[in-house]
Amino acid sequence: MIELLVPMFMVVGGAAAIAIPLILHLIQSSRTVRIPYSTIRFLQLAQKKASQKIRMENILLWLIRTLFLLALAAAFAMPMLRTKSIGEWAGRSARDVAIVIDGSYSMDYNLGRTTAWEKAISTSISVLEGLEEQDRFCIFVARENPDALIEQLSSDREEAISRLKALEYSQESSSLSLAVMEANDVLREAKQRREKEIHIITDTQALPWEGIGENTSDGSGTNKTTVSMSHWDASKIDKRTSVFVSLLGAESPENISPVSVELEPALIMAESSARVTIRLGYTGPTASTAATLYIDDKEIASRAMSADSAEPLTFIIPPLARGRHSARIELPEDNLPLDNTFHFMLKVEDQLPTLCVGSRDDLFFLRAALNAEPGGSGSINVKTVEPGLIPLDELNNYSTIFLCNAVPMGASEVRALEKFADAGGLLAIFPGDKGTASDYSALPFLPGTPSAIQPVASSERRGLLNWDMPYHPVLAGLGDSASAPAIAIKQQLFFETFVSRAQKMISQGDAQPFLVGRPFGRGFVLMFSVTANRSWSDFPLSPFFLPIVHQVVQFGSGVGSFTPYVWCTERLPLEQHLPEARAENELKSPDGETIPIRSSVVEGQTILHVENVDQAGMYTLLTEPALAVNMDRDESDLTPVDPTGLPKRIGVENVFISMNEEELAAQLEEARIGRTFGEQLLWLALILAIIEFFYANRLMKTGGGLSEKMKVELSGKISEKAA
Amino acid sequence: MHKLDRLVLLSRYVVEGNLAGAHRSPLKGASSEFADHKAYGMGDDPKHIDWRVFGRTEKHYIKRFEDDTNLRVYIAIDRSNSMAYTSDDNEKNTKYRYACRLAAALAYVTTKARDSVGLYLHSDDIDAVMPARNSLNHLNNSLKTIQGFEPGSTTEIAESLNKIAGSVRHRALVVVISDLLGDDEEIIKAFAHFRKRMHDVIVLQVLDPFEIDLGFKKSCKLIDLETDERINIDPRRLRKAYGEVFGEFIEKYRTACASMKIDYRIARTDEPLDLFVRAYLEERRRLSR
Repeated sequence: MIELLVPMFMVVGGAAAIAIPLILHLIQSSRTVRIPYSTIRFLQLAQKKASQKIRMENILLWLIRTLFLLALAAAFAMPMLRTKSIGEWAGRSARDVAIVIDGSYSMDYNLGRTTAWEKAISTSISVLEGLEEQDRFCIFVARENPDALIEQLSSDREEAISRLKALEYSQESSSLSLAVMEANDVLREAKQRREKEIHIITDTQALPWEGIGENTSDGSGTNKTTVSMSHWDASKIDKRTSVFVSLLGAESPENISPVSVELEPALIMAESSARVTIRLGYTGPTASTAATLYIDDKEIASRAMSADSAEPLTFIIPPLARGRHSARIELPEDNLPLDNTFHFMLKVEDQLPTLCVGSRDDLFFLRAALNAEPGGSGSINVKTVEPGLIPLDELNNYSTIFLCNAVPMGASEVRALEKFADAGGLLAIFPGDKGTASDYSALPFLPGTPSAIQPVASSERRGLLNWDMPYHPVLAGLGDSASAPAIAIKQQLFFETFVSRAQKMISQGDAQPFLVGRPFGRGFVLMFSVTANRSWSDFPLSPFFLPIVHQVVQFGSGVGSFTPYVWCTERLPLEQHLPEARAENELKSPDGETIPIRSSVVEGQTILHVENVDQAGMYTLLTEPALAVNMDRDESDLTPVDPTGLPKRIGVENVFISMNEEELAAQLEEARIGRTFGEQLLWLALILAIIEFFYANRLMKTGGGLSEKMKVELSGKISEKAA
Repeated sequence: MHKLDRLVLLSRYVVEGNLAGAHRSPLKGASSEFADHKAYGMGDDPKHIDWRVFGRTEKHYIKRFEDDTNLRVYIAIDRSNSMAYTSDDNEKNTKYRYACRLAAALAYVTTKARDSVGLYLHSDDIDAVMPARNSLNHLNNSLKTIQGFEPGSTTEIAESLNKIAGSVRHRALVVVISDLLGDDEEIIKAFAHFRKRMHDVIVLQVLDPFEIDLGFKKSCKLIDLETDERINIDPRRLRKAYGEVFGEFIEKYRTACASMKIDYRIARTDEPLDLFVRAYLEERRRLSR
């Protein structure tokens, strides 16, 4: 079988072989000089006599020139002869090879005596060892972002093999599309016309193939799929590139893993129990398993369940002491042990320190709601002060401060409260009659600029509250908007404008803002449009008042920024997941390695983050559990890919699918037989060019005229016969 | 012309003249030119007995002498269109011009030898006739007549030559100056016509070197000067075949002329005219001894 590696040259060359003689003929015709001559009688006779010969010469010359052009075009088109018998005799041509190894943790799947990863490394080494001296290769490892093991085409196999032996898979997913496109870019950058091969060495998992040959999103809407989609472009792969896919995993993999946990309540109070719900994911036939809950490395409980059970697995968390506790769910070891453990963290608070600023009358309902009277529940530690008596030096002891009809305030108080919010505290502000709208406008931390405090028209006084942000932590536990109460408002604070990051969380009636919030520094500010007492509305009397006040306090205690677990990632912002971290702190990985906390300035704000959080387990900050990190559970889904659909998805003509190393070796032997005849054709073109040169010169050579044959003496006598 | 002063256009055959000159006459007479020997017979003048022969052979032979006469030379110039061709950069150096200069040279030599020279200028018919005279004035008038014509129209050379042959009454030397690019069979018949009327004939075929060797360097389109036919040629590819065809054409004339004892010469226009005339006349004088 002959195939052309660069068929464009054949098309162009063929066209040239046809067109160039014609163009030369036309050019020659147009340039013919006209000369008067005594008689053309003898020329006609001569032409008649020589026509047969001239025709033959012309045909021969045309043939040589056309063959020359065709040979030249064919040489550049790189014809590849793959007929086995002749191909073996001809040998094989030089090639550039790109190897892409799936580096996701699913490659750790146990296949008995070995793992898919070990087979992948072994297969990669076999591919390298099967190359000739003149062959070159590059190696990429597919992860979420591909790693280049051998970035540029190289012939140093020993170095590559030693690097391969030292290579380890990562605890993350992989995107083959990104790695293959990068590998293909390397092959494309190599201008030499060689045979090209791309080896994709992976397990049988379908996940890493997402984005390859798919025109529509899978509906998950995850960023990863979108990124992969945007990078895959089959048209960039040379159609003559041979793609070898080695699916080295189990044909019918089985795996069970915990994929998520849910804490209820999210903020656990000391000496009170809580509940954790675990969801399992599985691949393969349904099977029973047992899950064990560990808290602070102590086994708490163990439960058996079926992997396909619709009901999640639930554990009761016993009362714990105040602080952060590491916890994990463990499943029995299976073929993919890496995803059998799911780490999470428990945050336990004993008290929620809260400061209420206002007169006794203004704080009446708030104190009642927070159960601040002597003999009340101790979970919320409430302190009340009159306006003007705010303990400015002790604000850091509180997580939440309520300001009820507390304006106007002095500049020092405003600065102290601003600093409190900026440091991560929650300010909840109820307006009142003591201040005007302009007094509130003077507060720099408000979510908007109040325009006026005005009575509400009697026709609009009563209206339903609407949850504009039902998933906000302040409203998360209050049910949907259908359960929102109707309240009557006699007087209200109206806003003129809002700051850019302001969030309208609750509105009343005709979209009138009732509760507006804004992030401020590392803290948060909430602003109600009515007072905390009955003077402006019946809000304190509504069943909604008490829970929202409790939610505000819980939100203020940091529950909003508490994250039970995060996924392995390359970059983790700490503002959201670990607000107590400081730039000078150090995070310790589960292996005890130090991970520096880095800071960057975005829009004038200092953002802290850590990089390369790619190891599952519990990370510590100042010896305390700080972050529970888990591997991406998408990778636990080992649903196998359909091998028969891969050639179409890859979109290249020559796709070879193998399920083991031996099959790949046979395919390589078959595919690598034969060689390009570009060099031979160039030699042929050269020989034809030389033949053409001498032949054309011989034809063009000015042969001796009649004078040389017919000797005419000076006296005009012909001394030898003219014919 | 002065270079040609001492040269004489001799007839190799006997001619009839009207003045006593240096040429042989068919009438045996008192000239000093030996003709042949004849066995002595009754009535012969014993003073003509060649005693030297008698000394060697002891037989009596009479020594006979040819009667010398002056020569009448008729020059026939072809002025057909084909004679207008030249490959020279100077377009005026045509074959016709060369033929005229050649005719002038021969006429001058003839006149200086006190022989008579006449002129025929012909194309498709006889355009001009100058009778044979022996004077420089006549020569001058003849040359002026030649100058008054340019090459034109087609030429039936054979027909014109036949007319000329018919018009020359006495035996004479007829010089045909032409490229002979006509019907060769008919032209050869015309030569035979001359010979039949006992004329001594010289054929000077005037040819351009390009006509002999097809000396064009590049492909071109040639236009026939007489028929206006056209042909595209690649001279490098056609030269050999052309040489063969044209060689056959010349060989035909050469063979025919040789068989009729006609002096056939080729006059190449790239050869200096004076050299050609001197060489030719000297060779002719040598042969006529």
